[in-house]
Amino acid sequence: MSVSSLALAQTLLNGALLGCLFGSIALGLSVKWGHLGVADFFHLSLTLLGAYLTYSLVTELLWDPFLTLAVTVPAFFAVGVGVQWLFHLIDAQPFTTLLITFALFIVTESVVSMIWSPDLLNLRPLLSDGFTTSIRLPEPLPQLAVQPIDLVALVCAALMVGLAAYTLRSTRAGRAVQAMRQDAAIAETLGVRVLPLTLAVSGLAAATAAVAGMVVSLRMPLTPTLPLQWIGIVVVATMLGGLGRPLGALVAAVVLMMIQNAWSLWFPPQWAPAVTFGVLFLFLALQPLTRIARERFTSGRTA
Amino acid sequence: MNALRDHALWRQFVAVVGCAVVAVVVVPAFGSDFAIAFGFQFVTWIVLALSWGLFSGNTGYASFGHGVFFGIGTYAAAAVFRHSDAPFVVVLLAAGLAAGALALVVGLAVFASSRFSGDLFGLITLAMAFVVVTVVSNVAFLDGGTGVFVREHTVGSWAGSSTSHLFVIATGLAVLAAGVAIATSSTRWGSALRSIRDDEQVAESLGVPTYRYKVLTFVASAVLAGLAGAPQAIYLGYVEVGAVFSLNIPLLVIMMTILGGITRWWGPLIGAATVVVLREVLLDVGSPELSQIILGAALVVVIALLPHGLSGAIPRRRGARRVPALEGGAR
Repeated sequence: MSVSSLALAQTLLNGALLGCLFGSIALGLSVKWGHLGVADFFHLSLTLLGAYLTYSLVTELLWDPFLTLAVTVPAFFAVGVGVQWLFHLIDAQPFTTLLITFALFIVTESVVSMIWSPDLLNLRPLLSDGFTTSIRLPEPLPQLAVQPIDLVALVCAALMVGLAAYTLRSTRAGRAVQAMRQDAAIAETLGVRVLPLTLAVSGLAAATAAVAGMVVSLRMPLTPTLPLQWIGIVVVATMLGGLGRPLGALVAAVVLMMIQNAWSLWFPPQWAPAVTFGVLFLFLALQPLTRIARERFTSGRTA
Repeated sequence: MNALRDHALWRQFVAVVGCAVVAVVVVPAFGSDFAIAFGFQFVTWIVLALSWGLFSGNTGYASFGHGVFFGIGTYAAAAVFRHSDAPFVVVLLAAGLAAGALALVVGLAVFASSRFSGDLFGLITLAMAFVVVTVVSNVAFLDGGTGVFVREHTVGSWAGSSTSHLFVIATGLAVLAAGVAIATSSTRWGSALRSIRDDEQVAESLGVPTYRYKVLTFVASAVLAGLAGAPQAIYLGYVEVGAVFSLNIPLLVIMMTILGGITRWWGPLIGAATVVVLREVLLDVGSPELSQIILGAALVVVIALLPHGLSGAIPRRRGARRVPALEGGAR
């Protein structure tokens, strides 16, 4: 079966843009997992919740989708702080936090389908044409088109991931987070206030779910089981990108979605989810090699 | 072979067998159809909870793949029924072997590196679930997306003719699971597993062959869950991916074990009883979503308030061996 280069280019472009959305979901997961040691299933549920809240605010109160962020971002920040506070109160081990976020994941799915019904909800028909008319790319590639909402996803992902990566690498607070990750006890002795810092990181990670949720509600029809469709790609991107490296997760998500979309051109699309995990298992199998390579390249620097 | 001479262990095992024999005689003879069906589901949950506790409870490696092993057993049984006239024993063995083979492959790969302990292990088992679901729903030999009718192939056989026969089979499996759980409670095997939970690196340095123990126990746990899948396939009559691989199954299994506590071998047993009864009561609440919410919230509360579970809250009669519960694997 031959596929025109145009179709391939468009497919790869769509995959890359959808990957940006998954990259911005993976951002929160990567930061919480890498720096707080919490593999947070609940982050996906928060993204879903953000999408449904956006849907309700837009359809019932007729708000502008971007205006909803004024409500959802602070609310989710509070939720993120609350969950981390709970973990602090019960002095939770990684095993315990994993179980709790898994339970919250299941609870949220049920809560969402109770409140909003398990049916498909679609925001697209209610959006202005500016959101739904596809845009042709400028001159060198006029045959390719993008959805405006995909551009929103691109901008959101670039902003959030860029900001997170910059903060972690170059600011005082970011370096404190890195120090805490390496050894919380020693960081605390050296003046890092661990508890406020973990609460803030958790809150900010949850706040990114609000933004990602808004993009989701504009991008795809909503069902309560969406997180189950995302979990594979998001978790694999987080792991491939390296825990706690937002930029890595974004790049991995983009590449994964491009591979997955390209796969559907040549092979049965229903196998596409397995491709993601195929990449993951390949990655795991190649771990020893990548480790050697990484140690070669980064010797002398802190990894 | 000190374990074989340990009279306390044998007494516990004999008590379990006694209870099982009484249940097998009394429930089918006097129970209504509902009671038998309820009893079947109850003992199936017991098998799943005990077998999850066998690996994850003892070693502290939280597996979200237990529903997959159960589901693989169900699908293997359905496939054997559909493609052959093999007797039920063969079906049962096929179900156990299929689940065990998957666990062996995954276990050999994942436990080879200490990086994949703790939460990473949990997510890998979850990823395994998604891969298996994709494979099963696309391979026509197993399912192919339409579901499999099992009832028409089993209606003439002994196992398929009555739910009380399924109850007997499942009770037998529960005795097997309880026997294995008792065996791990105070033998060298069990101590080795718990040393992995407490501190894997120290255990390794003291000469515990952690890799071998982890792989073998993971396989044993999966085989038990797979075996339970065979009667389940007959009980369901119609096997379908969404129901068989539902994420509720591992959630409930984990909940039963954590609620019951992992510091005693019979913790999962009372956990299973509590959750099954709770679910039955919640049926009257109305919507399945609401009962799901209550169960999930209950799990959070239990983890927060009773880290040792119900069985851990009961003081031990003798000895003061305290075991820290719910430690993650070494990160």
